[in-house]
Amino acid sequence: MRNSKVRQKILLVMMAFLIVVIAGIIIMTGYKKSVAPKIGLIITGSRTDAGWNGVHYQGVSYACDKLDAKLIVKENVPENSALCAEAIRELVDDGAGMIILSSYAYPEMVKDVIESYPEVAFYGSSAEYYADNMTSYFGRMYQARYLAGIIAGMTTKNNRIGYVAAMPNIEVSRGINAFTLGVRSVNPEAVINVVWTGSWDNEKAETEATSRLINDKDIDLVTYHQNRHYVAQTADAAGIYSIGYNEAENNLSEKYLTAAVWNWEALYYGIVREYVLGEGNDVKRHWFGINTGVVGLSEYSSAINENVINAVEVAKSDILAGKDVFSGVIYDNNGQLRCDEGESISDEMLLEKLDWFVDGVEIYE
Amino acid sequence: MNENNFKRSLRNTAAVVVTSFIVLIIVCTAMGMKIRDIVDVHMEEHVAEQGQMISRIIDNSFADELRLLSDATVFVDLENGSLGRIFSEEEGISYGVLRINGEPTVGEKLDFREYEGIFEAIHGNASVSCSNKSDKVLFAVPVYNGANVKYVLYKLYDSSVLAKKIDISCFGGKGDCVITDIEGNIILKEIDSRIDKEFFEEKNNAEAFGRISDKMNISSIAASRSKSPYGDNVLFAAETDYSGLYVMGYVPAEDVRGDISLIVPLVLWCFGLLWLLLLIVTVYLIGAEKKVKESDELLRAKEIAEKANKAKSDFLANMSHEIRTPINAVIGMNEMILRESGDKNVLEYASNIESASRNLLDIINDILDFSKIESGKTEVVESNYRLGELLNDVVNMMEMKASDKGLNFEVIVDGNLPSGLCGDDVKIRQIMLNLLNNAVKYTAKGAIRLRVSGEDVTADSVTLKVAVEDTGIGIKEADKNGLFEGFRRLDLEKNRNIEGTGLGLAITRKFLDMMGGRIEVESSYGEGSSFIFWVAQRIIDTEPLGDFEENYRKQKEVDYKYNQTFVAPDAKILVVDDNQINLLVVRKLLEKTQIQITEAMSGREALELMQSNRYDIVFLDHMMPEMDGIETLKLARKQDGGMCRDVTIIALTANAISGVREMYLSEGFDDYISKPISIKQLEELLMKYLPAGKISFCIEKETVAVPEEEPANLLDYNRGLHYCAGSKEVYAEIVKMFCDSYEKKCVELETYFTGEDWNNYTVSIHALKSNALNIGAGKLADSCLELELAGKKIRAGEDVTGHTEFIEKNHEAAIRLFGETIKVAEEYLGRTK
Repeated sequence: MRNSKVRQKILLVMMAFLIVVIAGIIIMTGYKKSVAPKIGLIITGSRTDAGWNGVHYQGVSYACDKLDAKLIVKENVPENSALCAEAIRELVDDGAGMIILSSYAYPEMVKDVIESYPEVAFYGSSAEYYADNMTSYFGRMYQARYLAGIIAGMTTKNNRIGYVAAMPNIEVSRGINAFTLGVRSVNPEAVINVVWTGSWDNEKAETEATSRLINDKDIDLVTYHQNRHYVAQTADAAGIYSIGYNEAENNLSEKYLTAAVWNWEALYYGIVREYVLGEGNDVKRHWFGINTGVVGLSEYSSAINENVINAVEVAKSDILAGKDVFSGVIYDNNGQLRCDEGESISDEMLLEKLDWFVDGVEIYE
Repeated sequence: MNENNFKRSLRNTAAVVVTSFIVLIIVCTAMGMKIRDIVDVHMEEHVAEQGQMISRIIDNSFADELRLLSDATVFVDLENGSLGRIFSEEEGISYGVLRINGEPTVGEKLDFREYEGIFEAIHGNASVSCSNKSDKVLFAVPVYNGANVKYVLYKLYDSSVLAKKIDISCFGGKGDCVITDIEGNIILKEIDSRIDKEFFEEKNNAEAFGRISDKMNISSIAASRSKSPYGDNVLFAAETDYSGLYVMGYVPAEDVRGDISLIVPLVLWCFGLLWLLLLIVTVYLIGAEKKVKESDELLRAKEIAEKANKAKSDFLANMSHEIRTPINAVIGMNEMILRESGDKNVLEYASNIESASRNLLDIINDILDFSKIESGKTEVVESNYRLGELLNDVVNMMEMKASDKGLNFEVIVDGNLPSGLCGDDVKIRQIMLNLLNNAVKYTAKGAIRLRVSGEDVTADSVTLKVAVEDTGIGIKEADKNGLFEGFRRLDLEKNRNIEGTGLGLAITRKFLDMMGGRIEVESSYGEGSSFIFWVAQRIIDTEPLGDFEENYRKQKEVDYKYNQTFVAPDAKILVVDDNQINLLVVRKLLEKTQIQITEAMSGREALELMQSNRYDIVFLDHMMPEMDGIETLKLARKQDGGMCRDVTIIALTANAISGVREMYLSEGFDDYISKPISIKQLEELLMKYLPAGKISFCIEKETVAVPEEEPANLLDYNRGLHYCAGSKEVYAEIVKMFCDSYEKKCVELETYFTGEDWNNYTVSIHALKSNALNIGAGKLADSCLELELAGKKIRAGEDVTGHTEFIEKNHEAAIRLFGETIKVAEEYLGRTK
């Protein structure tokens, strides 16, 4: 009697359970289980690095969080090695559909690998190379460099300015040219001394280069195109002015005037979203200007006076109004006219063909 | 208990139904919502695709515009930026050339901040942008001087004009769409478009566009349904290739849905039916379980009933001995009365007792038979028999009964039937007697007819067809169904005076079932009935039966001879029974045969006697305490040096159930006689088993004793002798017993009288009356009878005071008469001594 009652109850519960399960299955089916897209990121250093690698990682990470994508990071992949190709293969094996090559030289090095994975969308922060499955993305950092140049030109006392850069390539040259144009727009006498370190990230080389510029060229202001802030630190220690790059370094004196900085979060949100939408590689490049906030200047040091700030603001509004950096009369440092009055150098030239330096640039070998 | 169970199961059922209903309603609701969701999603996808198509159209149109414009850049004079008249004037369209500083060389000056596209063009990129101030759309392309951009060529549309140019009709004109900027400002719209600022700001639409905006994060197209005053629409938005430009619009849900909407009711119907099915199955399962439970209970009840039935059957079987023994005594003693009494009245009483006893015996036999059948103890026992003898017996028994009732008894037997058959003749006999008895019972006048014939005759078998017809009361059609059920008696009102248990036909039916036979009944109510049964029998002797009537007559003559009494003074028999009255009965019955009778009251005593005496026949009772008949028989058969190891031993028993005979024979008895003993049967057995040399027949003179009327005489010796079958010795014995009981009886009667215990007084006076009659003390008996009757009246509560007075008045006279009678009796005893 009791058994049969218990049996009946069990039967009831099981029946109800079954109904709920079946109903659940019916209700759940039809909802397409969206597989989170996987994004691969290759960086030359560690994701915790202050400087280039850290900001890239944070930018991509932010975008992936916002867009429900899964991020796989390959760290410590040097540029001139076979490790990048290896990292790409591993990422593809892991299911990454989009691979971000965050260092400037990566894309050129792994051209073949990129072409062997036509179904993967590659994004490289270089404008010199692109393919059907490779989109270049970058910011018009030159605009920020130009503004930084205005500050530098108005700040230097002896008109000797140093520029520590990794190596001559279009990106670096564009930055040097824009900075120089900015300096010269307010201080036509100033000279920009450029020293190559041969590496994006080499403390010794960068420190040495800075010291050499200070000692040999007697510079009183320096800026740089490196992953980290060794140059600014050295300059600050030496008591000269410096203008940073990538992101603001906070532990320096007021002589650290400002920095030309990236807002990678906005940039990466844009391109990761593009991939998630299925529109990856529809365009060959993205070049985000100062109007988008991807590039800009960090907070000014107290050493910068009102006049300087006003000049910067005027220049910035000119840029926003259409009068960009590379327009009007521009001569290179060999005296050749590169842009005439009323002309504007096209993006194509700036991204793919810029192999000269404007007047005022002196390479210190 | 059952009430509770029922309530509980009802409650369970209700709980199940309600639970399943609730669960299913929930599931159904969820399902309905789900289906609507799916349909909505489908509709939204469909509409979104539509939106994408429109955005492609726009993309293509814009690309065309830009290409045309790019092609036109060759007409721009690089020196002064002038433009030939290459474009015709059109309402709402203007052209212009800008320097890179924004100053126009041709056309109007445009603000960089108003049109993003100018900036793009200066950077060498062809672009489309819309004014953030007015309803204008700008197409701008760079004009190169070598590698550098020198001018920007633009084409400025009034959006209404552009809208006219670009066919953005949506969903075959059923829908409506516009092109907006990222903030939702309408840039392009058809003139007849119903979409305006209010459309986007309407609460439900705004919510829908909010959802669309969320979806646009991960998709370039999105749609969402909105029920607003504008109707039930599916709103959509799609990105164009030109940053900041979107296509936004709506399509009435009805048009999108089309036939898909039929799916919702269809699926809901299906689901509803499934639910119904489930409900039915649930209810069925519960019902089934309840049934199982009930059948469990029934099974248990059945077990109990069977046990009870078995106990009943066992009880009945065990009662057999107990009931039969006193009946035996009654019938035996009654037989004595019939034999010895000369008194007409007494003979009549006795014959009534006889018939009542026989009836009682029949009833008991029926009940016992039925109980045997019920408990499965009855088996078909086949033996060879003569059909003629069987019919003789039956006819012999029934002839009397029929003629007693004044009925004609006709017997029609097919003379061609084989005379020797094999089958259960005992049961066939009983069946025939049952049917015939019924026929007699239920027929008041007319005739009873017994027809016996054969069917399906083969070399070794024949199916006997026996029909019993009567002209009795008949059976109502409605009653025929239950006719063969146990304890069933029809027309009780009408047939109240007819005796019987109602088991006869049930037994008949069961016997026939066991033998593979069948029975049918034909009857018309009030006119008569006809019972016909068929039973197959094996043929042993194919010799035809011949003329039954003639054979029967001959047989009767033989019977008559058997009826002749015989004497066997040399024969010695031993009768063993633990009941003294039974011994007396046998002794009395056989008195005339002069057989020497030895009596034993136990098996042990019998064995002692058999050890040293030789008897011709031993009658051995079955049911005896200590050592029963069968045990005694077995010991007697292997008695060391016993004189009776091979003599005929006949079972004497009250166990008269069918099949018992076989049992006794198999146990080693030579024959069997059931109590109450019929004198005829007993004499037959004796004739059969006594050595022929010891029997001498004599023609008995039918001397009817003429009663001598001697009322004055207190003791009528002749009458007394008559009761004792003429044996003076016996008479003396009885008289002596009578005298010996005097004092005790007197004390008993005085005690009851003074104590006014009229019940016991009546019983006691009744016994005295019987005893007085036995010895022929008629006067005393009469006196006792008066007192007995008075006592009975008191007992029955009739005129208690009157009858009490009567007893008080006559008691002493009766006692006095008793004393006087004793004196006379003692005188008689003294004289005989």
